[in-house]
Amino acid sequence: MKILRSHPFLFFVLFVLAIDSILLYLQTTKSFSSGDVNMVYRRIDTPARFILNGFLGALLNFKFSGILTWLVIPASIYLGFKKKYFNTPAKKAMVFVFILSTLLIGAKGYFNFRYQLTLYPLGSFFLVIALGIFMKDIFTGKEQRKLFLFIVFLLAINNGMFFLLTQQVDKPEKRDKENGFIENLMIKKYAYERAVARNSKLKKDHDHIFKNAINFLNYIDTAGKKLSIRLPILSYAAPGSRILINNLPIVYYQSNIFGVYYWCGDDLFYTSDGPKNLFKNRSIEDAHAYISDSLGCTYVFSTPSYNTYNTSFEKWLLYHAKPIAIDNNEYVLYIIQNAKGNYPIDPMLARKKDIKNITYKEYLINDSLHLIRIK
Amino acid sequence: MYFVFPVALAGLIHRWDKNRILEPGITDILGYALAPFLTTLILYYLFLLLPHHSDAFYVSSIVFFFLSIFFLHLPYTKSITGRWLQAISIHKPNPSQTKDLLSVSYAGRNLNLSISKSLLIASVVQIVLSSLYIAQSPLTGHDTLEYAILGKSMGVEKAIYYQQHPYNPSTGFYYVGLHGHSYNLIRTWEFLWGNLFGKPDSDRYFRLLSAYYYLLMFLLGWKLLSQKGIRSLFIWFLLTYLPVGFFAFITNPHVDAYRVCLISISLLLLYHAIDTSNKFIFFLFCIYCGSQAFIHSLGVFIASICFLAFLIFQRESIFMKIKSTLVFVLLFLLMGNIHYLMDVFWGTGWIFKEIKFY
Repeated sequence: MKILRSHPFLFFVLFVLAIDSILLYLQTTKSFSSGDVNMVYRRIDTPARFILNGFLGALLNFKFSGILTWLVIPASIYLGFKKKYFNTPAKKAMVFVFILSTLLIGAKGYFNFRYQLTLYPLGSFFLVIALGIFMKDIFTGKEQRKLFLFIVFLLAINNGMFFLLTQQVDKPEKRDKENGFIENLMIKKYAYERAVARNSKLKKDHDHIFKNAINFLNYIDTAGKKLSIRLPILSYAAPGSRILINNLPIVYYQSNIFGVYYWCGDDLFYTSDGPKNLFKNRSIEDAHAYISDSLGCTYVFSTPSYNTYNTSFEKWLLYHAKPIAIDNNEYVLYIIQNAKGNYPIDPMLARKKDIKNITYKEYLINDSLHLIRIK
Repeated sequence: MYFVFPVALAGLIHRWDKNRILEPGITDILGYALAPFLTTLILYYLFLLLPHHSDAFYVSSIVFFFLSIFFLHLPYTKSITGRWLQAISIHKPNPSQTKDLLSVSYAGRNLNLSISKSLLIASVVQIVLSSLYIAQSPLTGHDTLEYAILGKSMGVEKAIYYQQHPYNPSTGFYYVGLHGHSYNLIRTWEFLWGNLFGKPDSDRYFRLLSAYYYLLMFLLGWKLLSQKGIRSLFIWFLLTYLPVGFFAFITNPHVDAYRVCLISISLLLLYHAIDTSNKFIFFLFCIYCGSQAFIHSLGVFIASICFLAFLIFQRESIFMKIKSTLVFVLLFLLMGNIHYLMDVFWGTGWIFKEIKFY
């Protein structure tokens, strides 16, 4: 307590700063139920969050860069004016680069926390130097250690608060066991909830849903390209079996299937002539006809949090597509109703079967069983 | 690949830094950071100038290049490995080793040295454990997958095309990125290597690159602060590990650890280039500035700001400043950034097209 008696004002300031930091932290990391993680980019965030997490995010985005980064500002003022620390051209150049780069990132990279962390190593390094000088100036001996412990305490709060506040949003899997997979998914994904409600059978039998959507795509691909002669499921992957991929490039990386690359957020699909609009200037029925007939898509691969970016796309999914496969990454594979090359398939009945040491999946198609060899 | 390439470049830098402006530990880190980049740079030029050759041609060209450097600088490369082994194995302080990598200037204080080394070992173990986690997790991030898909397709084509619409007609994939090719060429390099050894789908090197550069960033700060005492090192340790966003650089494979590490090194070299007016350090500054720009478009602007700072704060005549500008521009373009010019004139238009962020 000696330190408190000798420097009461300083301790008071530190205490207030700590409380302020926590309050700001609460303000800037509070989650909304929309499931949209980047509201800053979409410019629909609250003004305070937009400024703190966006334009000033390089210093004040506590969620990602910690609550101490902003100390770079007072530390620079203290060292610059009180100690004349930036007295060489090299040090001045560092300040110049830091300020200009922070302004650039604030103006052009405000929506991406990764950009905001570009100068984090430089800022942290400077902070360590500044804290060292500050401690030597103000404290000696045991007092130094106490201040040091206080800083460590602040850092620990920084990390602890993150986990406490973001647990529900970022770690939904913890609730899996209590609620079941579908229910857990519905907590965050309202669009999907409606889709599931329409398909009551799917909801009822959710335990049998084919969980790994990516693998499911691979089976389709395998059937179409490698086992076309032997298996009647060939018809399933005939020229009509294209997939409309809603901004999930994992399909291209993990399978060889042809996909129409689409991003519902901007309502653009990509062709050899560049991006084109899908729903703009088209009714939902017209868009449905275009997707299934002109683009030749039979499936849609998307994730519920993306669907909410575009109400037309979401409505179309609701009325014209049926979810048939979900996996733990929250990817959902939909089958487009009444599309060309679309055959009724019930993946819920898929089960493994071993024949002569080769594992197959068994599917019900057109009321008859078919086998797909597993890779 | 994981050992010879970085050590070869560290030896090269160690040899040419004749005035010993940089400490040996720093030159080591500089070499390690440049090695994966240089692999991609060579691959870029080979694909551009000598396209459509076999996998073996590209792999053997790069391996031959690095092996030549390694053996031409054998005395220096030997000293590097020896220094690292010494730094890790010694626990009793030796005053004569205060200049060595990872040793702390508290030569006579056993406790501090033990704590600092324990902290260092804990950090490295942490990164290694994270790497094991990454090694088991598939790529899922949108941006990283875009880079990886482009990297794989470059590996298949063995060429780099500049076209207005980067559309792959066989899969329907459209590359929406606009940055330099270095990061995706890391995946290409692994793809070519994997093709030779029957594992074309392996992407562990690509995924572990983030952890590698995170470790280098941590060690760079550690080395620079090692003279400041144990408390500074401890704060550096906490600042590096606790902020979730920065730590996510390890757990989520992405381009950021790669580019941020090279930006940090560029800033360090800018500091020394102005402070010492040494030509070799200026040369290194140009190289590293150019390299981080070829990874990400943001780097182009940061490199411009860095060079502007150099021009303003370096006390040289106008003639020398013009000369420095010419050298910088030439080396900057040579480090792969000619890509941006080609992309503007023959490709997507780079930042001059309508940019969509995902």
